[in-house]
Amino acid sequence: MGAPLCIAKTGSGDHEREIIADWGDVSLATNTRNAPDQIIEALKQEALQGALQPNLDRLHQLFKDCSDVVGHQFAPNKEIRCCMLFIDGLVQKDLIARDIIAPMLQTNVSSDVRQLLEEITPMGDAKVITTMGDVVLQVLSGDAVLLVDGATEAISYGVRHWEARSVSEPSTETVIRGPHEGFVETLRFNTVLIRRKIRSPKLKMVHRTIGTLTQTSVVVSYIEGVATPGVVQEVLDRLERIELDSIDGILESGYIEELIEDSSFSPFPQAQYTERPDVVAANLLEGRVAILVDGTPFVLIVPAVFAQFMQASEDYYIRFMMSSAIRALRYVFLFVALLLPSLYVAIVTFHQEMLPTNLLLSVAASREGVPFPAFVEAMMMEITFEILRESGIRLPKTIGQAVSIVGALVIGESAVRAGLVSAPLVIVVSVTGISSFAIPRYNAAIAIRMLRFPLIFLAGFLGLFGIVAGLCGILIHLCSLRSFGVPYLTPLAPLNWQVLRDVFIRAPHWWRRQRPRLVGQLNPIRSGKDLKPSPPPWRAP
Amino acid sequence: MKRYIRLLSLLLLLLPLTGCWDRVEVNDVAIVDVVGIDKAPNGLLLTVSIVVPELAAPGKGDGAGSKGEGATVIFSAEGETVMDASMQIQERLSRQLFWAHARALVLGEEYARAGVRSALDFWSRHREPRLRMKVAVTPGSAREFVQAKPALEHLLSEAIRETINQRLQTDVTVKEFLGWLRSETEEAFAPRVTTVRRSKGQDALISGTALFRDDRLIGWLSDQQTRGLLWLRGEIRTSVATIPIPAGGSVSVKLIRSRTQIKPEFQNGKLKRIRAIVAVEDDVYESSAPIDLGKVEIVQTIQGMLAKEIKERITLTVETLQKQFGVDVVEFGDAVYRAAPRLWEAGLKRRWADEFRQVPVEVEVTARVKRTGELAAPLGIEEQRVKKSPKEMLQRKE
Repeated sequence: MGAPLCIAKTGSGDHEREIIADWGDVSLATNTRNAPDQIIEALKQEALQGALQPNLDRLHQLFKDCSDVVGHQFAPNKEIRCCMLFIDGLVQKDLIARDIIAPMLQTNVSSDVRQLLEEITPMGDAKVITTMGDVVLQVLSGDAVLLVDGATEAISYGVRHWEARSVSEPSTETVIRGPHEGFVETLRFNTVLIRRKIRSPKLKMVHRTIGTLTQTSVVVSYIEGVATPGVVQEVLDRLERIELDSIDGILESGYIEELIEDSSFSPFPQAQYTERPDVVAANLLEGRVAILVDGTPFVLIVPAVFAQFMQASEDYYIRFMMSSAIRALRYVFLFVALLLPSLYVAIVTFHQEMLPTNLLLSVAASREGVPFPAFVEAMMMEITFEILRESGIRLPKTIGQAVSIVGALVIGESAVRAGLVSAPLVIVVSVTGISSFAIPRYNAAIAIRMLRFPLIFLAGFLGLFGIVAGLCGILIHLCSLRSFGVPYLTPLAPLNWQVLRDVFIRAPHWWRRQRPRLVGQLNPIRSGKDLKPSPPPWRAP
Repeated sequence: MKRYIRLLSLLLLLLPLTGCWDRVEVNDVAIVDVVGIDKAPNGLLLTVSIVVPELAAPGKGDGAGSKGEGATVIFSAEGETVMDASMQIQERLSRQLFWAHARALVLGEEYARAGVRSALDFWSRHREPRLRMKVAVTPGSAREFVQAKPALEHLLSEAIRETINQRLQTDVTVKEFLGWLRSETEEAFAPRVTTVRRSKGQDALISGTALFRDDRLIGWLSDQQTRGLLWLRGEIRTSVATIPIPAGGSVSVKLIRSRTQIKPEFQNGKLKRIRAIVAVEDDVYESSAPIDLGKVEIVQTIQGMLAKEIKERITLTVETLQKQFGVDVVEFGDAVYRAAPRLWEAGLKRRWADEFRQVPVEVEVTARVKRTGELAAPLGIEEQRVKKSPKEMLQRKE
């Protein structure tokens, strides 16, 4: 059905040249401003012509060499010709044929497009558009645009339909208990997944388009009356800043994250990302703001504080005692992942008196004959571990296994046998590695993993003194860090006992009645007083 | 931004400038295990045993360094001071002497009799050695003792430490010892340590106590007397008393907990007497006597016999300390000071050495036997032969 636009009739040569001249001017002008081109913005100034042919000529010019754009011309009656414009593969063609073209062919169509839309082809997701820019934008977004001869307006029908990955379990955040659905690459699906969890008109989804070339849809979602208006406004303002300063494309939410975060030069993530709708819903209920980006299953959540990165969604689904114990253990892992190798280096090279005698003897015995100082040894092994980890991610799963076998055998066993490294260090490195994987959020875990290198360096030169200095530096940085105005270490600094119930432990839901201060202070109480269950007063017979 | 990067790189350059000035790898230190000090013609003879890590590391004890053959190398040197002697040893070593893990200090008898203050200054001033090190005195040569190769443990220090930790004998650390040397009224003591020959190697044997006046060794307490000292100091942890029963057989009781109180009593501004009140709680662990331990009266009688037994042990020690040596290692002086600080400062303190010899010490022991076990009488004794009253029990077997 339909024919590529290129075989539609072209206009006179004069007109064509004129358009080319226009075109050239626009692009030249944008280039001299040293900003990415603003084609759509420029075209939005251009009104549609009253006749079909000039419009088609213009579109033909714009979509030159775009073989996926289809212009299907047809004539409902002798006077009026129409053209249905869409991108092949992005629309449901049978829907166009059945619900738009067929009714039009059966009735007497005039050039009044509003009447046409309301009486002949009513459709939920359809609207009247008036500029060339809108036509181009809608077509590129996957809508079908109907141009009618003699009308200065066109109709855009929402008949988008394309092949997309179906909703499946997110591979980066698996759970034993909890929903197994994850976000996908299609924005609309993602908003649906959230909407299905929070059925309230207070759940808002503000739409923005960012990227001069990609025209990526971005949705800012929050719950009105729970999220602090200042934070929502700040998010919208920062997004607008990207829009105004124009970037050519947004391909993943990571672009947005980097462009809106408070402090660029910080190893710590200031926005949480997740693939799980339940995580987004829970954060929205706490008063945070979610940013959904078309084309990626990863949704950003701001503001993010450090404690958030130690929480896994499953914590809230399993019994609170277990999740409290596991969460407390995670903080132990956090310090192990950050400090263990540097402590080893510091103690073995500077503070031998700090080890129990028997432990010192076995460390000393295993270090006999090792050719490197402990600092070099630790650096070497840590870097090797990072290599193994990195290559394991990139490789296909089947080869990844081979790499881990080689890593475990060659690096662990052989290096010790060959006397290149000492056995305790291999244990230290592997415990550190495993501990870093126990931090639930990958972006926080990788920050911790990278920070241990400067700490090893400090330990190698200054011993425990260096480690303490490094930790002080990290602490000072964490204290000064903000995410959308919220101090990064809340509720530890500033201290808030109410919210601490969800930091080192996970208090039961009936005890965790308040939203985190500073993100949910607008409406701090989340549940009633008498939620705690108890046995009934009667006895079972 | 650029300014910060420059500043940061300058700060980073500072790190290598330190040049790791006090960096010592673990495989470049000579870990001292046991330290022995003997008398030498001019000064002292320092003996150190230095651990060979490969031989001593747990789990690596296969081959040459197994138990009973030693995992240490012995070095001795004479010097005016410990530091002087240690430098002489250092000259002969490829590794740096490392004192932080030395766990036992053994003083030779001859050296201890001449006064130990000069050597102990090393432990109070040097940065590495720990004050938690155990102190012991050996009759004879410390050098010979340090050379012992323990049969049960990898290291001699481990053997000494673990034996002391059994708490059957006195347990003295360098810190306590230094404290006593500093005190004007309290006197120092240390466990007496010897070696016993095993089928392979030798083990440390702690038995008896070395008594000091000021910093000089003046004599020894026997094994029995040391137990009394432990009772008096409230440091006893393990004690088994076997009480012979006149009707035949005996009952063995084991100490569960005990509490010792030293209560000085005063009259007319003078120290009248010192009461040592010991309350012990024991359980019966073994009984071969034909008695019914289920009867309250029988248990009460046993309690009385136990109290008498303990009292005898303690009294023996008090008498030895007062009459033979006249050194207050029980810290009676401390108790007097706490009870009457003004009197103490007014004059008691000055004449404490004499006062300690003269003051009557009353030992009061109350014993309770709480649990007697599942059986009332030993198995295999006919019912009619089991004695059911104290009177029967105390009748001598005909």
